[in-house]
Amino acid sequence: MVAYARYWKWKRMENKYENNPEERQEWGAYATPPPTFHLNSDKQEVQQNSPATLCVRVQEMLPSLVDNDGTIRPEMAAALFAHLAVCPTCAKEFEEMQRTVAVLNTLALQPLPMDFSGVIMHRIELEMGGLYAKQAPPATSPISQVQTGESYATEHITDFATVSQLQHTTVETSVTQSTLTAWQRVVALGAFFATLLVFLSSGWGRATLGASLQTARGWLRQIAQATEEIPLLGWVTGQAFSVISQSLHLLEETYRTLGASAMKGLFVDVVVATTVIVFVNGRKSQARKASTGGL
Amino acid sequence: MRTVSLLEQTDAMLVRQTLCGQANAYNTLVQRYQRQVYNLAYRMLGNAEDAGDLVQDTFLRAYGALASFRQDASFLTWLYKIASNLCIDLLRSRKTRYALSLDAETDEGREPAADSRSSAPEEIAVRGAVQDVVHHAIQNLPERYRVVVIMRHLNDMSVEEIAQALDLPTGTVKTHLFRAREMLRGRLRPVLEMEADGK
Ligand SMILES: [Zn+2]
Repeated sequence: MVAYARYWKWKRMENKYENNPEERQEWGAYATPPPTFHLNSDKQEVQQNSPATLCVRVQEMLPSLVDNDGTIRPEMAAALFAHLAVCPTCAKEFEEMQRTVAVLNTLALQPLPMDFSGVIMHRIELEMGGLYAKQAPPATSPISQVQTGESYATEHITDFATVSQLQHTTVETSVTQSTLTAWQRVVALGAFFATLLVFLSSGWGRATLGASLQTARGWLRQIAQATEEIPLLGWVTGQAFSVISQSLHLLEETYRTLGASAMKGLFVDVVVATTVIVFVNGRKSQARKASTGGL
Repeated sequence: MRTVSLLEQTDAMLVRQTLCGQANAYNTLVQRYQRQVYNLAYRMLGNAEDAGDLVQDTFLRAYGALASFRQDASFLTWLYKIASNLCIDLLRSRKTRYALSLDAETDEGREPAADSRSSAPEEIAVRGAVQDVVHHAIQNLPERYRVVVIMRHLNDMSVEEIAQALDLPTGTVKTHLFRAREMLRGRLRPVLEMEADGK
């Protein structure tokens, strides 16, 4: 306990005189007054004032001395210590004050009963969601930072999802987090294109696609015929449906006629798309790094 | 010194990111300072449950007022300011409730409950809980003294930081601190004697 108290005292002194090592040295010298200082500086005052008045004055300054709060100059501290060496009443007072401070300094920070960040972020989202509009990093112009409520809301929600994910892996920087999701996106897109590629490169896949497109076309044609009975509006709707049906027919034909060359073409598409995504994400995280001062 | 200013820069950065709508920046701030705020609240209010609620309220209120936070100031000191105000409000409302329900004496300087429990040094030694005694002694200080003692000795704040957080002149903070210690000196006498014997 005593060692702990000494440590605290030492720590404070270190902080206080960090910028002025000379002063710290002086204080260190006065903290244990050598015999030569014995009452020397106070003798005249003792003669001028009664001892009782002197003790009152000393005791007024003791709290600052105990606290080492910077208001007492080293010379005055030396004088006070000299007085303490000869006056048991003031010495006792000083010692008790020191011990009180030492005991108070044994108060330790309690551990948290739980991590409150999850609850807090959830409550913020519920009670104050959308208070600060999602914006691009401050480097860009203010106009481009304004977003519509809807896009803000969706991004906001995904943000909170990643936050709750992160709570389990606390030591993760935002930079690695963003590259992770970027890679996840690349993998997902790659998988999607690969599936499409396999589907289209097989005769069975093309047939299935063609058949389902044909069915859809059939339904659309039926709806168009039914609505064409209605005057004006029905006619417009009918025309629209037959246009969609015609384009579906075109798509169907394309799928049916796609041959082995589709394999090569789609492979090139996947590579190009992946490169573009990686490049764009790289640029984004670089911009973020720059805006956060390189941390 | 340098580490402190670096840390503050990072806080300011996180605040700016939060204001730009990055929710996980605020999450980092919460995780960084929740323990300090919790401890201030725990020592002010005396129990873990109220302290937990107060941590939540503090960070919610700070989030709501984040736009008004001066970026060159210390974020932690600002949090302490919000937290201590909320603590004092809660303690006052508690006191009013107490007065209404029991019609009892509500004077801040009333005799501490801890004193009846801690008389002989052996008793304390047996319980082996100096911290417990100190905690109870602090609980029985008037609020304005309690808050400075906790900030100074538990949160390790300087007198200037406390003055900033409480909107008081440094002289007043010092006076409160010394008076609080005087009161504690009397109440902690058994512990202090034990400390002296321990040497
Ligand atoms: Zn004296």
